[in-house]
Amino acid sequence: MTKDLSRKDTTLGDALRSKGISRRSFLKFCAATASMMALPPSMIPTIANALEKARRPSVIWLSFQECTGCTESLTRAHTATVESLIFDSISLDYHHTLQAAAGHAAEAAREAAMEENKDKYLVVVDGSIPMDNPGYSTIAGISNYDMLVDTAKHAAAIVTVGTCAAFGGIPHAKPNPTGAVAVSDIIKDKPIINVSGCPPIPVVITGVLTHFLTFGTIPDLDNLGRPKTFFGQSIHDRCYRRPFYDKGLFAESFDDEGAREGWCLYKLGCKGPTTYNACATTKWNGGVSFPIESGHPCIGCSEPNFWDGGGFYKAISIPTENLTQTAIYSAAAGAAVGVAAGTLGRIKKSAAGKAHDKVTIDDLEK
Amino acid sequence: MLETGETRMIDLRSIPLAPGEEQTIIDTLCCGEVHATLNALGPSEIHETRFTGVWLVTHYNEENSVIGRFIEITKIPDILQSQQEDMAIALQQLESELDEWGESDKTETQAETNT
Amino acid sequence: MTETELLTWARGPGFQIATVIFVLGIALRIAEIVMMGRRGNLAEPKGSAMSSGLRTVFSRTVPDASTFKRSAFTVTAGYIFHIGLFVVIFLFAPHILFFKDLLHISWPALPSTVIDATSVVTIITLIVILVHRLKDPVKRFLSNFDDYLGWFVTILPLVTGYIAFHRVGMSAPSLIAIHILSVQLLMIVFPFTKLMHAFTIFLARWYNGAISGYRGVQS
Repeated sequence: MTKDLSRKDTTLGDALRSKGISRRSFLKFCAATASMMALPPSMIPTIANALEKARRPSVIWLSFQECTGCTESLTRAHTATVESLIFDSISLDYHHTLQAAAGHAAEAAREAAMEENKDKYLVVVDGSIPMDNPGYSTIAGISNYDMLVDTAKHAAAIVTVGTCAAFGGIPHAKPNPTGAVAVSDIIKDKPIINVSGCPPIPVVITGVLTHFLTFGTIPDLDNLGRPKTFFGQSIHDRCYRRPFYDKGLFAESFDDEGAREGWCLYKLGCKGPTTYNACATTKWNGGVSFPIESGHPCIGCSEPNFWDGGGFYKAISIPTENLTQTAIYSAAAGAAVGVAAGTLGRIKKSAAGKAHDKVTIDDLEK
Repeated sequence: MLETGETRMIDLRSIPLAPGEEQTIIDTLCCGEVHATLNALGPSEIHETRFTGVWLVTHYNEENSVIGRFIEITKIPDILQSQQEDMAIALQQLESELDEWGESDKTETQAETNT
Repeated sequence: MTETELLTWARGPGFQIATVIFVLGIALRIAEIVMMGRRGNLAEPKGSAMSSGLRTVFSRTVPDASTFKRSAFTVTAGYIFHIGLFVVIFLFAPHILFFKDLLHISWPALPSTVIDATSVVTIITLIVILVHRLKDPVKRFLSNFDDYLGWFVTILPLVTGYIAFHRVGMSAPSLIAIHILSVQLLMIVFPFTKLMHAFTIFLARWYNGAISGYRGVQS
């Protein structure tokens, strides 16, 4: 007695069972999910219960001015089982890069999904939106702006995947030739979850989807709209190289003695102290490593304006402009003015002396 | 647990461990009397460590990447036990397969009787 | 403006503006002082003005016994605070990077835990100094806006630096931006206040030594 799984009202539990996945496997899946979402193991029964009964939400994925790295990050997922299961458990009704359909048929499918799941579908956006000229980025002749506004109208929530959609990203970097903006600059009346990163860690993307599936709500967000579970700690606070920072042991250049010893990369421009992401704990490629562990300083890719943050290889405590030059010119200018003022003073003094001016209390007060 | 029977589970991946520290923990806990391998959505290794009642459960996906690592303080990890739902499905399957044998037996006996 | 933009501004235009005012102001004032010159002395010099002057720059580092007896607290607390400030500014690794970028020379750092402890001692000493200033009737009478402003712009970078290092309160980019901005406030205020003593004491000490040396007396 298998249910018709194309029906949207089948639950995730049914969907998994139909794939021949035993309860035991389901429990393993829930344990891995809890770990991935950084929830305590005591929550595994709750997750199991919720996922068992969860209905497959409709997801519409909009790709705007992006490099497709975020989609790649997700679909090249290395913990294939967990993420592919979650991905299978949603109903990805529209993704113009991944889907087979194209052109008007694809757009019709999108509109049908929106109508059928009114006020209940999730919109996932990657890429920024150009505002200078809508023609800079269009899909099937529809500008990104129009598509976003239209699709967001009856969405339950919007998940921005990647720094471009969350904060503008690389198109937004100086001089921002397309007038790129983030989703949150356009949509003001829907809950937005910013999953930033360039790209974001795959489990963070699926973690948000899983949270939505398990609890039916949006996770706790920080002041930049990012889920606190994954973005609540800075890289610096969870970095395994922190003891070296505290002891003052730094790599001075790439591949030098200190670098080989695995010392802190602060001097190489690491933006770990000002960057919030899960790289230091969750890591990349299924927990294999993350940039700092591989010897490269953090570039701060989950923060707004990281491209314009003063240079990836300039430490945070170093000014972004050439201060030496400024100082030299200022010193020269100051000395010149000072000499001039002093000379003027001397002239005044000798003139006063010659005229036998009396010294008054005002002169002394100066 | 000795007194109250209360079990605990610790997620090893929730603690920021330096490279090598996780292996040290695993090596320290190795190896007790029980070693079980689970084949569900990829392999899982379940060891009772040399401290009875302390189990190390490592879940791998089908590509052999670690997707979860837990320390369980319990008499036996839940995942090793046969699950209610799976047993219900298994019972159904067993009954239907037995029925099939019964059917094919009957057909054979009939065929023999006929010859 | 996002936090990152604020931090990038502080690290960029913020430092440019502060540096111009700081360096230009100091250069101007020192040049002016030197240009004002000294009253000529028509008497025969009985000793060397220059050598006495130079020597006095260093010898005045140690106060004489009677001065110390009179103001033991001020001298001791002053030294603790100044040395602490020197250590925190010049021996902390991220700061040394700043100076390396500015001056193209570098020197070894102290462990950050040592700097952390030193900053706490320095902050406490500054607070104690202020309390003393307020309670001592003579000092309170003599204190004006310049004195309190100088105290404030000096303790602010120490406190904001401590908070940024320990990352409490706001998120990291804001904390670091506020610390950098507080340093820039100090730089902007510096040439207009008695904080100029950082440079003028050397001129003053030299001058005292010079006039004594010219007259052939001990300075």
